[in-house]
Amino acid sequence: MSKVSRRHVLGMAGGAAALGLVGCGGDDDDSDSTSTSTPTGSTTTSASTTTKFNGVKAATQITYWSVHPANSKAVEEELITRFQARYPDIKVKLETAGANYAEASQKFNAGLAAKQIPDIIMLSDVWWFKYYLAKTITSVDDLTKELKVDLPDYQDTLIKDYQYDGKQWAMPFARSTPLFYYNKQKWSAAGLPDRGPKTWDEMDEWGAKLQAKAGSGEYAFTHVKGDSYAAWTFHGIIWQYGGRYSDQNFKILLDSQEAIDAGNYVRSQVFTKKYANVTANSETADFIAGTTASMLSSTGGLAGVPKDAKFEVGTAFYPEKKQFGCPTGGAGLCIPDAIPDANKVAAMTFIKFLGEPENTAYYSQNVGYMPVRKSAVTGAMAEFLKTKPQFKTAIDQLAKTQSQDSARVYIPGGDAILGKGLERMILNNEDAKNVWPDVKKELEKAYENDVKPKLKA
Amino acid sequence: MTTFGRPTAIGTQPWKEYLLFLAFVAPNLILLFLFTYKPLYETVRLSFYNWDLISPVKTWVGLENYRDYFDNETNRYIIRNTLVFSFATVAGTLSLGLALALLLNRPLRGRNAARTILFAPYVVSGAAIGIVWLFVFDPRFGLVAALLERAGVASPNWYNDPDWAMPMVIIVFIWKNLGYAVVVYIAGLQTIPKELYEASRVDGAQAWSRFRNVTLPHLSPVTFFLLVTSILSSMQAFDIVRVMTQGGPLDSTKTMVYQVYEQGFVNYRVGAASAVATVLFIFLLAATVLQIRFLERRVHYS
Amino acid sequence: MARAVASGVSRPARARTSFDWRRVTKSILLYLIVALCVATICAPLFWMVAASFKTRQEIYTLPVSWLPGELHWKNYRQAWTAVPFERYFINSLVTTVLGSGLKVANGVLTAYALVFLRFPRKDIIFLGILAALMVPEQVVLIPNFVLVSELNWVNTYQGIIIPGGGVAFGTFLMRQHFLTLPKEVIEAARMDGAGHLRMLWTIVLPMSRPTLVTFTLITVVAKWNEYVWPLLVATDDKVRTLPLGLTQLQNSEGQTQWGVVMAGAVLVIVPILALFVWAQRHVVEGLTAGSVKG
Repeated sequence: MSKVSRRHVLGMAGGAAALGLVGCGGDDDDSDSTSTSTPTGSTTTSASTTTKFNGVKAATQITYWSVHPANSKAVEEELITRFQARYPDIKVKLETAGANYAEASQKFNAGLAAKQIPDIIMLSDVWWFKYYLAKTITSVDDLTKELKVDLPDYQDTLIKDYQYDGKQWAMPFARSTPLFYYNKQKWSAAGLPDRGPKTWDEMDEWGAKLQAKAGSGEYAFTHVKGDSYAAWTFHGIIWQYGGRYSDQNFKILLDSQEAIDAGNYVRSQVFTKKYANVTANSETADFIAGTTASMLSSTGGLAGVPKDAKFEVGTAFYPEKKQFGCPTGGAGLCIPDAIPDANKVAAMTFIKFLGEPENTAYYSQNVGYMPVRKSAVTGAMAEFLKTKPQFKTAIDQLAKTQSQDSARVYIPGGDAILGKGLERMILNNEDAKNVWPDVKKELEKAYENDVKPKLKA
Repeated sequence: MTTFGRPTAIGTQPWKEYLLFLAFVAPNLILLFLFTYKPLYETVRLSFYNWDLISPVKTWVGLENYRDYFDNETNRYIIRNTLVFSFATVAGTLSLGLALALLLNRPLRGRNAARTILFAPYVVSGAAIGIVWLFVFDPRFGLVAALLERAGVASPNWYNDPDWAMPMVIIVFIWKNLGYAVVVYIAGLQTIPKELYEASRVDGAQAWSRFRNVTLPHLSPVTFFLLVTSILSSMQAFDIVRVMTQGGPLDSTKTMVYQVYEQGFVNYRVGAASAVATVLFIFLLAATVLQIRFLERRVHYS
Repeated sequence: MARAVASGVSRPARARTSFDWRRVTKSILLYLIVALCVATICAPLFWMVAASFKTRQEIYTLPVSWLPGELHWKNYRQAWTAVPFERYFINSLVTTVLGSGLKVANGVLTAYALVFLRFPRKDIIFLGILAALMVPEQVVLIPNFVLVSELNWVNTYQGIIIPGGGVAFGTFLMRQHFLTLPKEVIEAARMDGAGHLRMLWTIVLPMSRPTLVTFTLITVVAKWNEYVWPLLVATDDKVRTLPLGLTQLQNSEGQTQWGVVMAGAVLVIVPILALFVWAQRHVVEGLTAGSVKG
């Protein structure tokens, strides 16, 4: 496939050059020449950077497949409108790739098979690597260089999440971390101080108090099911216990005592301490409805949850155990490898635009995802953060996050395997000691089948 | 009867008629070949490979997909689920269907309206039905929870409890298909000659024995028909499961058909999916053949 | 129940001289059972309609409210704007009409050929077609998707319609009926020199109306409600049909907006139910025909 694209490069570059030389005045070229904003003007700065995209003219239309996470469609549309104002020659077509990240990945996979692919695809933490393995997404290094994307200003943890084999495979966009949300009304009714629990031991103590005040069917805390990313929120907890899913080289570490303790802890919240349940629908829906007094949920709910809730919402860091631990998460934007170079350039132009401080600030404030740029926090969002303490907590916590273990994010389907293991504990009350070995075996099998052969090749 | 057409075709050239025959039959045959027979062969073939639908190469793995399939506890659980779902829905639909048919076969006022209402869910999309029932079963704000509350019982957590999710989808499937069985049974009841009842009445037979000796034997062809169609349709049930539970929680509502879809189009493990599909095909074939062979003998034809 | 029913099948005419308490209680009981069954069937639909008019607060409050405080149309507006229902409706209509048309045409033509045209060993061809009944759609999903991908038919009408165009059951149904048509009429027409297409159109089909209606109804209902294949082939709203569209709505509104989702469900279900009630005799008989006489 890379061969095809190289041929494309030459073809496109040659074509563009020829057009430029002859000064051919078709309709398109007229509009192009009047535009000052064409990102890869062939006249400028070709000396300083020589990437394979040098001189490639951006395509006039690109398709962007998004999940609109956390109901962000309107915000994305607004960002596209702003983009069109500055780049009238690159039309961005927004399409829905699915209801959630898993569906977006399915649609992309089916699209690859059917040769119907977008120019930008939103892939979550647990999916992009699969397409890296299949060699179907392009490394963006040359594009960021060509378009002079200010990489050092991106949040380090967020950009590093997409580095593998010395290359950058995606750009951060809808990035989040888990955050502790609590219902201040229920907190004060139970006589608790206005803050999150510092440790899980404190949470146990508070959970009992909250539960004493809870109505029938109401809980102090709620867990999510596997397909709602149980293995993501639990990722923090296993770290806090000093365990890990795996190391970065796919060695599964679930047989450690720490991993077993962490698993049995969440199980005990549901079955012995009985202050937590597993949400039937979604944790945010339950939280807003008052069914649960607190939850661990994505920062992606930061804009929506306080707006929909009829009570004041507090946010806090993850509770700790032996140590603090919090994963990054959410989605990034990838560019398929099989599209023409002109489309790749146009796609990166749009991605670069989305990452500009005022745009990432706009997106962050209106949805809740993390601003991907450092300067956005100190600049465009500074005022906003003063008035929204809930956001402030999330951004403070971001500094303390780490990238996730390979078992969850690099093994295709790893998240689902871990999530199902967790379901066995929190739904079925099975001992982690018996569950993790099965999970370990399954993860190892998935690694052997789907990762190892492709890493070698 | 089978020689229809032959003597009538006086004066026409046989090859002309052959061509016409081919013209009439070809579109159907080609479509069936391309989208039924050839893919059946392809399914079996793909089950010997590992493939993700996008790689240019498929890796030959021989029987490994089958070894993995049978060497896995989850898959045995899924086979069990398939059988439980099928048995429960077929038994439920047929027994309730017969009972209601007997009831509605009586000269009751409004029985035609009742019959129509019972039949209505059968024509509605399973996906839509599933979504509606999902809300009906909402453990806090649903209709079932509200009714159970009235009765002083706490609602089970239908979505999360592996013990309750399967009964939930079974109930919905029966609800949707019951009316069909009722109508077919009523039609069957109306073919029973009245004189037979008169005769048994003269004999002084009790109601129960009349039911056993007259009604039931006469309904056996209808029952056989319903049995075959219900088993096949329940083994292929997909939309309700997909919309309501996606096979969860903890695989408790995952059936083989759902597994084919999930392995093939969610996980993109084409080889594994094809292996499941092949096993499912053999199951269905065996079920049909066995039914025909063993039941046909016992079915009463009048 | 069996006892009650069997004795009721043929009741000897009995003079009603006095008020028969046993009979009255029994029939009240029977009516109650029927009412209960009808209520069970209607309850989820009632719940759907009620919720579609409730505000979010009304839905998410305990104890639940049975009826909406007032008719609240906001859910419908929101459902209608959240997903392109009219597009789904058109797509459903197109795929159902064209898909059923293709199937019915194939079934009728094949059956006609099998019964009225000469061909060596056509019984083998018939068996070959009939055997397709043994292959459920789900078993062949993957290769069919691969083929449709290769044809570049993903996310197109033809991708949804054509793979389902072959028909075995309908061919069987029509063939069995054609075999029962009176020989004399057919022969007379042949003597008059009627061509086969004309014979099919003017003689055979008019004589087969009930079976044709059955075949068409079975096909139309199945097409309209088809789920798994469009789910794979329709990758966006351009060709998504109503059942998929409703799932889209469920996804986009999540389970946090049951009112909106139920409004969408009403939009999908109620027109079909209305159509069904309007044509209920034909539909019920059509869909269940063939089950009794075999």
